[in-house]
Amino acid sequence: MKKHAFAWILLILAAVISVGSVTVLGPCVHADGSEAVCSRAGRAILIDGCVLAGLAVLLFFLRTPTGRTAVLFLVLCASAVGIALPGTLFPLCRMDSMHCRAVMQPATIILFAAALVVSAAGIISERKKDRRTKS
Amino acid sequence: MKRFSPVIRNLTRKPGRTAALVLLTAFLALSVFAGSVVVSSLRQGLGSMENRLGADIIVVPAEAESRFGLKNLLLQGTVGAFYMDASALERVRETEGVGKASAQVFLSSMKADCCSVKVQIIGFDPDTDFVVQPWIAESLNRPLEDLEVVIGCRVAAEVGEDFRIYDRKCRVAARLAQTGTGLDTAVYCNLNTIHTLLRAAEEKGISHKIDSGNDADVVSAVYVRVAPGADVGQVNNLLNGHVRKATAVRTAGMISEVSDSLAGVSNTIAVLIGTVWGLALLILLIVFAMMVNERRRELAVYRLLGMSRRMLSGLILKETVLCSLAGALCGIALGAVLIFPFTTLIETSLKLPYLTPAPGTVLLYAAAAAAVTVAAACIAGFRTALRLSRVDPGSTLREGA
Amino acid sequence: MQLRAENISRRYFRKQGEANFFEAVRPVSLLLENGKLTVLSGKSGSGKTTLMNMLAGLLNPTEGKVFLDDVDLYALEDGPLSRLRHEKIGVIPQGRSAVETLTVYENILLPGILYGGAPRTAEAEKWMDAFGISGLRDAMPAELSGGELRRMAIARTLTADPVVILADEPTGDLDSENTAVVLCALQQAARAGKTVLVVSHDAEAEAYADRSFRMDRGILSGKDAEPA
Repeated sequence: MKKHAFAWILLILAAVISVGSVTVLGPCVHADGSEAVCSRAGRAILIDGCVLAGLAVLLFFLRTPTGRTAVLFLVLCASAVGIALPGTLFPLCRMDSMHCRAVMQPATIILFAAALVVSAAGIISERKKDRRTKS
Repeated sequence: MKRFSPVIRNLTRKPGRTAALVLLTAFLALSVFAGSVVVSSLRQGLGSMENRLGADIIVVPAEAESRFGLKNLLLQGTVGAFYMDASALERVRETEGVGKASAQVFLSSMKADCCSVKVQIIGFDPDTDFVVQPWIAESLNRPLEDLEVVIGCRVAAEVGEDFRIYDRKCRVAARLAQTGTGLDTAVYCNLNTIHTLLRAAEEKGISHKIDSGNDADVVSAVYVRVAPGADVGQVNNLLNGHVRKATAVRTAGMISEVSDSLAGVSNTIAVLIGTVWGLALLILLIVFAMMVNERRRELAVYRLLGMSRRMLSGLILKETVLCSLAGALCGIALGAVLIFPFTTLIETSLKLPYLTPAPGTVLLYAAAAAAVTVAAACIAGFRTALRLSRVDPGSTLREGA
Repeated sequence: MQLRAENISRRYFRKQGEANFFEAVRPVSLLLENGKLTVLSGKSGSGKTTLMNMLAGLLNPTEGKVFLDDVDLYALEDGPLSRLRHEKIGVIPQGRSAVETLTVYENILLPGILYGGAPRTAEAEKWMDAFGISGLRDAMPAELSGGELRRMAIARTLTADPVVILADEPTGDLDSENTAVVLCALQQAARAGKTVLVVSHDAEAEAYADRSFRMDRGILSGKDAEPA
């Protein structure tokens, strides 16, 4: 568990993002069933969350610090993109009181920012391990 | 070798114990910080609402108060359109004790127009208005032209952008500062614009006609400020008798209703904070009591090497301060992450005006929460420090030797 | 520097036969001179450690006084007494006496930094070498055997370089080779002008003693003893 701490944390974050994006942290739903402006942002968050989960799973199988660093770097990029998804890359509804702006956007940004911090810490830790092995 | 700090070594090499202390104190700081910011935001919201209402009495059609609830309309941005004959304005003005009176016309947009949801459009008369214009003046220093709108801070549109309402293009002239009330989700325009929009709505099949009225001769509400020296209650009674098919509502009553709800929420938060603190302090005392047994031998060594009782107490308190400070910072950071991005959610859940205090005030709350947390941890740790500083090194080190 | 006990005794409240208290050390006067290694022997429970703790300024005697040169130890407040103990008196206690969150090396340097001084690294390395624990420099006390811990405690005291050294069973957990090394080091300290007291029931310690006493049921005996 301790050995794969970063992978576990990232997997949990990715699961929360993915499951959240289709449940409580999802886009607005109109009463008449029509699609809201923010629904594309919701789908993009789900896809990014799944990518993050896939990368986190990959971390469990990689043995070399270099390989793990590379995957963590991809996680970092995916997280940075995730932060920009709601509102910047994909439009949201125009009222701040809408669910997408009140819940989906802040929660997604916080979760992706957490993934970004964890992946950055992971990269630093892997680099240290790499240096220790080489010396 | 560089000098090392036994305190830091102890904290870093006992990560479990340190984490437990940090976690507990983080809970304390989180509850105090989050609780105080929420309560303060509610108070600030109430103050803002009082400032922004600007009128003593609001006269609305008789059925409006029961159908929409004026409080909901103002606080939660409930969209509602109701109309009465424009002659109501004249009748209000004729009433004894009325100082100023100005009419407003409400219209709700279709959700597909601009915003995915309906927004409340409020038309005011620039010549007589004393309610909306003073705070529009904070964002726009010229009169509002026809087909220009000023938007509440929660309507996502940019200044200069075109805003479509019932297929009519309106230019966004300014954005208002946050009020923490339902007014943040409204769109403001002058009477000419609202009449244009009323006609556009009519074309779309949305009727706003009243039984005996002409399209342009309708108003939704008349805002009243009583004349200096006049009694608001008396004027309110006179208006209720004088204006047909309308109800006069005192804003003070509305504010006191909100204030009562706010007191209820504040009390609930206080009870929650109290419970969290009670539990956390109890656990903290247990953790420190356990520490007495765990660390007797270690502190006996310090005593043996020449540390005075005061230094030993200082050592324990230094550790406690460092742990609780780290915990307080974590708790405050977590509180900030949980509260500030979700202000809209909190506001809509509480159904009360909610306005986050200025950054300086928030920093003050953070500092106070950190200070209270560190002080509480030190009080809990002080007994332990005192007990441990009295250990008899000779006999303690012989135990289990 | 002389350590002088005048008529010191220690009673504990404990039901023993008819009496309500137990006399761990009966009134005793003792002079420990600098430059001499004194050995105090006796059976377990005879009061040796209690006497040593009273001499070290760690345990208030029920009656009597302890002087370090002309300073009455127990007339001092806790702060000045602790400082005096830190600067002048080194105690090697029985049992584990390591701070478990510090490495062996940090434990040995600890006395030097308690009052803000610089770590005495050269001395620490010298004594670690002398006691064969250099290889354990970065080990944590929990990883050490009883004998290694004992040698660490002795190295810590000698690194601090006090003028009075009080050692309680310093060779208790040691093999004969290490016992000789430790007793030799304590003897050298005495030759260098320090006041050394070794509490021990190890017969080997007697061979290094300049003076020796016996404790029996709280009563000190021996040719230099001055029973009150």
